[in-house]
Amino acid sequence: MQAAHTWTLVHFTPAGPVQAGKPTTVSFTILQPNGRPLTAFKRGPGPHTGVHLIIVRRDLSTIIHRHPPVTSDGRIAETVTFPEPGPYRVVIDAYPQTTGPVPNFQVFSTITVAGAYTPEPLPPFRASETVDGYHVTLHGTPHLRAIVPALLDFTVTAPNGKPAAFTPWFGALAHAIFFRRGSLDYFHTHVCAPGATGCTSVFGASRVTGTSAAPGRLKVGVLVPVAGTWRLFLQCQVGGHVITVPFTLHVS
Amino acid sequence: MSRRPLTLAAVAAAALLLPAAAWAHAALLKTFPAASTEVDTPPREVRLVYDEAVEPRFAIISVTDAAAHQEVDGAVHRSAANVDEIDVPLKHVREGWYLVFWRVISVDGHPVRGAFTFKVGPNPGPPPQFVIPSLSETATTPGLLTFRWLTFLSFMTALGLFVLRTVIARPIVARVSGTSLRAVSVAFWVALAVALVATPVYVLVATAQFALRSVWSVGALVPLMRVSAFGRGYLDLELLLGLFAAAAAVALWLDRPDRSSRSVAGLLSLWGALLAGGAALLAPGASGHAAQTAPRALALAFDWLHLAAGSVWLGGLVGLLVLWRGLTPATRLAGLTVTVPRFSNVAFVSVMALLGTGIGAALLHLPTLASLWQTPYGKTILVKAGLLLAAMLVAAVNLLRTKPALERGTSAAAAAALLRRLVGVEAVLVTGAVFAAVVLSSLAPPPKELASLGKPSAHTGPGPVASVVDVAGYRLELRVTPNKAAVSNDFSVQVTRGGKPVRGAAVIATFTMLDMEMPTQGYRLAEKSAGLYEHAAPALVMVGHWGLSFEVEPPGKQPFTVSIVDKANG
Repeated sequence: MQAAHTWTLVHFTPAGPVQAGKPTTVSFTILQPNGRPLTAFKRGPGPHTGVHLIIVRRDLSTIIHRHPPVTSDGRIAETVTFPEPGPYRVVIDAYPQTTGPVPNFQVFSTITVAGAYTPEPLPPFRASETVDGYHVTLHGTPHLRAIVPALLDFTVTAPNGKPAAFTPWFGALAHAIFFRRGSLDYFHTHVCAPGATGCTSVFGASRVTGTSAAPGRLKVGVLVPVAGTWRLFLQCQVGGHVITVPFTLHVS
Repeated sequence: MSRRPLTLAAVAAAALLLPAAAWAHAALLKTFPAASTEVDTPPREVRLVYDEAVEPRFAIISVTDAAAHQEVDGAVHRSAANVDEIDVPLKHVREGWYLVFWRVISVDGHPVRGAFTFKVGPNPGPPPQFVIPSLSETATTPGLLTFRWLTFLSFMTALGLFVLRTVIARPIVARVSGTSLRAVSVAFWVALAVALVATPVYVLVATAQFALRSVWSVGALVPLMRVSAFGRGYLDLELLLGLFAAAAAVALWLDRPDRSSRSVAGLLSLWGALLAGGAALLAPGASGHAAQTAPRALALAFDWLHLAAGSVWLGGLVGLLVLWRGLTPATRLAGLTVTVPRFSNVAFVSVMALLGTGIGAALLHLPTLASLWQTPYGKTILVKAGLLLAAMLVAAVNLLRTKPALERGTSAAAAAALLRRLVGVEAVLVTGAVFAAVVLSSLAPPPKELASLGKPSAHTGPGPVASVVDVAGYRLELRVTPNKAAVSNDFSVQVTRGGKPVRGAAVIATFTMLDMEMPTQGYRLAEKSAGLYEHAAPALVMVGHWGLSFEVEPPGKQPFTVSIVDKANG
């Protein structure tokens, strides 16, 4: 058997350990199966465009989500500051400009931040979280099952007590990024603004997406591929800045 | 007498549908994991379910990741629950894409190969472009065909010669003084000796192919010869031929052809030998596909009758030539006058039996009439039928001209000379027909999914497809790019009528795998620009022949369907 021609991640930096608290350049190139750098990515109004760079610490205590620019030679670079030491998983979610139905794929890497790593246990499920003064509440106890679609119902209240007004960020009102504890399996859905195009997420044959019918309300579509404990990072733009709200979810 | 040519012409026309024994290849019905799907739990094994039992000892299942690392963790074994299923255990595979490449030997001794992919999620990574090894392995290699031909030719000739010697030509010794059948007996023993040598050699050559080893590694191959049902079947044939040889020796030793009536011992030994010979004729069918085809008894009976009739005809023709040479010029004419009419009657019955069983098998195996000239299997049937047709025309001349001339006795010498030439030609043609039959029984019959596809407008691929089809006043330009298996392909149809694009039509593309049974996929093509309907999908999930049907319904008009048979490579 011969090795297959495949998409590969090359020239990934940093190659060695980096320092916490110092700006670090994360850069890489994606090679196409024909060996040439991938330069053409999907563009448009929706979130399914370009390259998503998502970095999580192995214990899922920290997440970094960026949309770095692509240069004409296919080199992709982003400056990132790691808050804590430890091992980080790098997920590069790419949306190549192809005519085929494969909308996106992920390639993976790791970064080690020097220093003593003390993994934090995942906090238990809490229905309410407060981040930067914003109250985010998940209504009802979610009973999630693997490969069964479900909707999670959130409300977001601004520090002044009023329902938060969302402004689209990277084509969606909210991004829901899921990582599984241990294996770090990944998937990603969106809450689309009414009438938004190119926002729907597709998993296999299922279309999974969320809606926002009123200010401060978010319905997040979930289709978890395998059972286990998952960390949901809900990201939305309110009051001019992006907040990231983590939840722990149990999937049977 | 005037109706005879008509009858013969009808028979000859029917011969166009004359195939050989009903042998086919194992087809993959179902796989686990299913082809081109994603599983979120790493599978512990790969399971392949065929439409008939395959030989686990010779089966190869390779499961490799994109970097070509082998993930198989143990030997291929037959499932305890299902004899048609073979399984192979896997290592603990990681997330990613996997190529399954398999090669199996059908119970009828034909190698079949295939490949498919699956992915292990939730994050399998980007889709790789696997390099799929060659899938074309056939049982029609020159070596295999030669030995198969030699085996069939020699044992069929031997059986026919025995029938000629002991039944058809036997009276000439009593009726024409100074004649003997020694030459026919010698020819019989030579043919049987060749069969006894050719059969095990054929099994050896075939086993070498099953095991992918050199024919010369005899020491390693001999223990494997009885491992496959195919090998056992042909070694049984060898055994039965040995038995036949012993019974025939006794029968010929006891036979006194100079006495027109037979002794009881002679009759018993003759029937013993004929039974042994008849049993030998059953062996190829019992080890081949006939034994797998329902209704089994009927399929086996057809197979046996087809071979028996062919043997009597072929061996009889060879016997007539031998007899010609074996008789002295003085007795030749009288000898032939006794033999030829008797043989002609037997041969006529044989040809009818060949036709009946052949047509029956053809109806079973050809899904459409067009597959007769569009598939290698159908083409071989035509070649075989053509050779037999020519042989029958020659036989008809013998039957209608030479036989009466011999019987009348006027210009009998010229008739006898003509007969010898014609019988020689006929024997060569039938020998050729046996070769065509040998090729035919080594080819896979056309897929029965062809029948559901209708008449294809074009045969396309491998490589990008650009095909123009005119139908019902419309012109369709069909494109498939890059027309490769297991990756996404763009399917597009430009529909025009009188040079103008046809807008707003409903265009549905259906994909049917022709080499293996799997669910049909259907997609609606979206109109990308005026009259241009497109869809991109990884619909060609595996290498092989695909039936692509495009159903086009122009707004407010009658729908119509265009089909192509497309070949996609890896």
